[in-house]
Amino acid sequence: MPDDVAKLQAILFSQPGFVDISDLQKNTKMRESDIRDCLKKLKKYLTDSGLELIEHTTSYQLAVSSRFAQDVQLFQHKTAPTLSQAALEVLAIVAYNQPVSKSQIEQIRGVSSDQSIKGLLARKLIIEIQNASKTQIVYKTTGKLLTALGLASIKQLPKLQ
Amino acid sequence: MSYTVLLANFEGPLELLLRFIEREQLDITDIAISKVTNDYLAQMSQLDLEPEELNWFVEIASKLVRIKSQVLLSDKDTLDEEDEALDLTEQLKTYRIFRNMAREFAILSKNPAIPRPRLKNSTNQDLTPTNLTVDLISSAYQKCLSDVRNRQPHVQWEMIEQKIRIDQVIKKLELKLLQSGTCDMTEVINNTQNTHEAVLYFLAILELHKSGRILIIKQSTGKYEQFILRANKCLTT
Repeated sequence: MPDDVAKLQAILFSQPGFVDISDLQKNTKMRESDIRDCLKKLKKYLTDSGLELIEHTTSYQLAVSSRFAQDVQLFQHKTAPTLSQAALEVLAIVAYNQPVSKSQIEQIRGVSSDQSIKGLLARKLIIEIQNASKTQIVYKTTGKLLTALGLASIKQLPKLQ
Repeated sequence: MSYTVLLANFEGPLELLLRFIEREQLDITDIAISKVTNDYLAQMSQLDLEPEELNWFVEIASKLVRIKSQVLLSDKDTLDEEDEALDLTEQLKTYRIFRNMAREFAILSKNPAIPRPRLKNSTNQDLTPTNLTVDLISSAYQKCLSDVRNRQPHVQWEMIEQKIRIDQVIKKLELKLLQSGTCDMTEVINNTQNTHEAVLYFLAILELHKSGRILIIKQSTGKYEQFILRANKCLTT
């Protein structure tokens, strides 16, 4: 593995959360395009390994591959927290329509979604931001959604049926 | 972190409606003529809903009733009513898509990617110091050793090997008294090799006195006091 790739792997491994590409650039003095190339290579190196590189917009995270999630959870004696069907519906609506407002979510579900949105915000699976015209609060998914679903990027979301 | 799904009975009016449609194996587009309206209304009346939740159910119920009445009256040419049916059909279709995706998410969440856990209360002290080398540790250890060697202890501790036991001391004293009849207690104690032995002899004297095998006689000569140990009758017999 080339040094630069290994260096980025080491940095990402040392961090428990997502690392933005601007932070990598600032701290490694590498060019953004080189970092992106290295991360592409890293992704290839990690194929079939126990780790995977998760990409969320301009941030990256090294995590245990979803293939081994159950083995690791068994080893850690951890039980998964629960999400209600309502929360999952809201999450799906946000994931495929982001950025999306609360009223749009409720229009699709045909029911109030206040509690579900609050729960997802608390779990940091979604975040609220202002829309482009700064007139409304809208919701977007976070990188944590990708790790929660074991996806390497938002592109891997299942196709709408 | 992964999430598992809590299956509630239903999550809203659209799901309730969808369940009736699926139960009857109807197409969503049949909503305007289906019998699900009655089922929906009957089910809704049995629900214990908060006012805000009830609004959502009533909204769908009113749509269903208007569509049904339109069908019964066979006044299909009214544009508004057709639009309403189409709206509800589209709403149901859209909702069904995301309900199904939520089910997909539930399956996916069983195999999450697991990020490295965040260290609790992590501080710089948890990090490995950059100036730590084997040589540094070695010289620090050597210095520590020489400090210990050079240090003058305030108290010197002596490890005494226990060569003699109290029962042996008692026998020695008994023998001595049987041979000589009496002896000076101070002389007995002073003739011991170390403090440990002196303590043993003192305890032996107390034990012999307690069991009545010897007598301790106090003699005063001027300023001095003397304690004489004498064999008692039971010792000599």
